[in-house]
Amino acid sequence: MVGQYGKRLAEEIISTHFGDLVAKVCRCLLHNGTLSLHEIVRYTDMPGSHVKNCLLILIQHNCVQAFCTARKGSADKTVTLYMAIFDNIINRMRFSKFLSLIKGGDLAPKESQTKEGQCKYALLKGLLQNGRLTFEQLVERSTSKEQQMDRVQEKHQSELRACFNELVRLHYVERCPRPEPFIYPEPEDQPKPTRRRGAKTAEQILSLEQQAIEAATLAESERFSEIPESSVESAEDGIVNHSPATGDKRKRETLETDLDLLVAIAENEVLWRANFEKLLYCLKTKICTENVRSRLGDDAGVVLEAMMEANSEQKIKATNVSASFDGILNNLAGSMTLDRVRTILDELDCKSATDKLEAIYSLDLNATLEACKNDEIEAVIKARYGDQGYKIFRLLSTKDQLIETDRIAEITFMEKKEAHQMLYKLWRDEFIDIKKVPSQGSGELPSISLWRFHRKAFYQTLLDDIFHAALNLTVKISQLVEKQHEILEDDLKNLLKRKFILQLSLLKLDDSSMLFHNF
Amino acid sequence: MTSRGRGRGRGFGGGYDRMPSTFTPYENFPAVERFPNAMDVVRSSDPEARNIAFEKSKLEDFWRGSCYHLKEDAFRSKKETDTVRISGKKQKTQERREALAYYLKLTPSNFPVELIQGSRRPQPSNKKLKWDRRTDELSFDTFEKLEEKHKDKDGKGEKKKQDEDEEDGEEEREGEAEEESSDDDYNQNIDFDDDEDEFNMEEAAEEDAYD
Repeated sequence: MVGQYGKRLAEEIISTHFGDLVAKVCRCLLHNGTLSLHEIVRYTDMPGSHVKNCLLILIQHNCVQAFCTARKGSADKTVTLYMAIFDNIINRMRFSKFLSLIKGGDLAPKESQTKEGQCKYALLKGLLQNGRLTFEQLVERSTSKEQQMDRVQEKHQSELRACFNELVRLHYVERCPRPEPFIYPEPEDQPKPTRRRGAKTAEQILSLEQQAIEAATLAESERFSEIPESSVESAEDGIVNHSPATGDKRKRETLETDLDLLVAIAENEVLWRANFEKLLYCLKTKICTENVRSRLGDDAGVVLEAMMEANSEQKIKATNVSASFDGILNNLAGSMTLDRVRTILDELDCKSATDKLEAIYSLDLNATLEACKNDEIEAVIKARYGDQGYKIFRLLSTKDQLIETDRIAEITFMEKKEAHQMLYKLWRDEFIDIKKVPSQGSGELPSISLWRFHRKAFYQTLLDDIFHAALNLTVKISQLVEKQHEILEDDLKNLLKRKFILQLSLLKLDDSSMLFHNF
Repeated sequence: MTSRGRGRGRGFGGGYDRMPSTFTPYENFPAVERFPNAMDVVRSSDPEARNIAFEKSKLEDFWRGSCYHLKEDAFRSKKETDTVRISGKKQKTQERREALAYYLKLTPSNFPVELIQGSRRPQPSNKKLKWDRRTDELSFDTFEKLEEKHKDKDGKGEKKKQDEDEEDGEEEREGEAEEESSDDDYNQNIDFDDDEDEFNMEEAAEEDAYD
């Protein structure tokens, strides 16, 4: 469940990037849920053609997913519904961070930039800027500035294809999901499944939106299938054609034209986009590695990074990382001895297992993620409420029970009045919960206040606060950009300076939002 | 009993817990004791973070000037009674749609059918599409020069760089003006009956701006 500031932030991002019209449609979808075209026109009071354009742009940039389902009431008529993808909208704030993940690209230090890295960087940038492109469009884009001879252009194209396939192989780039999958509606007359005691966990009933996303996603093999080389090129390179050795010339020709057709489709018809799941996973690796490095030393950080890169299932939300020992060593590329690696893996608390004669190490990232989150929380609480506030907060967060004011004041060596004031502030900001209990026996007090910490509710509140701060920064940056056009040069320097500092802060804040929302 | 339902500040907890019931107005921007020095923040951040921040600004400038950024003009002109404007509005949405159609692959395998019904497919043209605008390069250059200026505390270098700066500032303004003119109203009077060459017209209008 996204809080109100999360939705406002999403709307503001769309407004900054695509204008107010598109933002209006986006806002309509975020606040009212999944809607049909007709409903959107009604809610936004905009002409149909505008709404269509806005939806096209949002779909192009992966912020909206459409799906088809049966119209309520009539079994044979279908209706197309549109849903906003909140996570992808928020991802737009971090596109430049994604670009920095390309090794040897333009955002790497100058010494380590490579031609291949710059090529991959340009390709990924094209995809992030334009949402979805065919390979042909990417080639056109890269050659649009330069006039090149045909021969050179062909070579250039094959270089681009190699870099592009590398990006697909690393899963940074994927084929776009289906534009309009059909979702079978739940039959209304079916009784809700009853819970059976001790039964295995029933299949999770997915919401309509989750079903749509799943139905739209292509199978792994199709999603990441690279652009094959055309038969002409493979003949030039001397690569053997895998045709059956029957010596049948006609068969070989058909296979060649089939292959050419596949290549043509892959280059001109298939839309590609950046794979946010993988990119976010890489950012998660970075953050966890940084934390482990600060706690357990550089070597531990390096090993964790290698392990997360060798992880077989790279899902963002998964807290379990498992990798084969060989995989880890591959990524380390011989920079450490085997013994040292094993010692560190023990230090990190990894469990080892053997699967088909291969040593597999698995690690629970919960501890690391909790450590990262606690660092953030500590910083926020101390800045807002001071050290005293932090003491009380820590007490409540470590003891998962209702505690009364007097007890809290006792444990933290604070005055009762002070403790109460602090608790009241924490409660007002929705960080802790209160429960009033009528006091028994004689006493001046009609009721006792008991305080409790709810981790989940707290995380939600904190996340909404983070989004609120990000919203403020984004709005301020937009204001500065508007002013940019109107002012004189001396003020321009100042303005650009301020804008730059705000951008830096926003990017730092974004790390926290990923920690509490995505990971 | 009497303290219940009185409102938060008052009977809260009762007894010694009673909060002082003076009303303090809500502070929107509480005073911050010590602001860190702005340029220190910039200098202490590592170069990778700085490059990422630059790149973010560049991306945002790109989107602002791209065909994906729909302007309100087309919508506003509905209320205008000016006939030129009304036909201009239709042309504007068409213009935008045409520009979008060059970059988006509007086929049923990529987008829902109901959204692309009725749109004309543009002929596969050899026209070179503007994939990247000039303006973001300019603003980045301006800032690079400003940064160098701050690093270089030498008074001699400063005056020279100031002159360069002024030039850049002008160039950037020209660049911005160029961008604005391409979307401005005055190009609509030129031949709005011709539906085919809207993209050409947009380009032609930009050339006018240099005069």
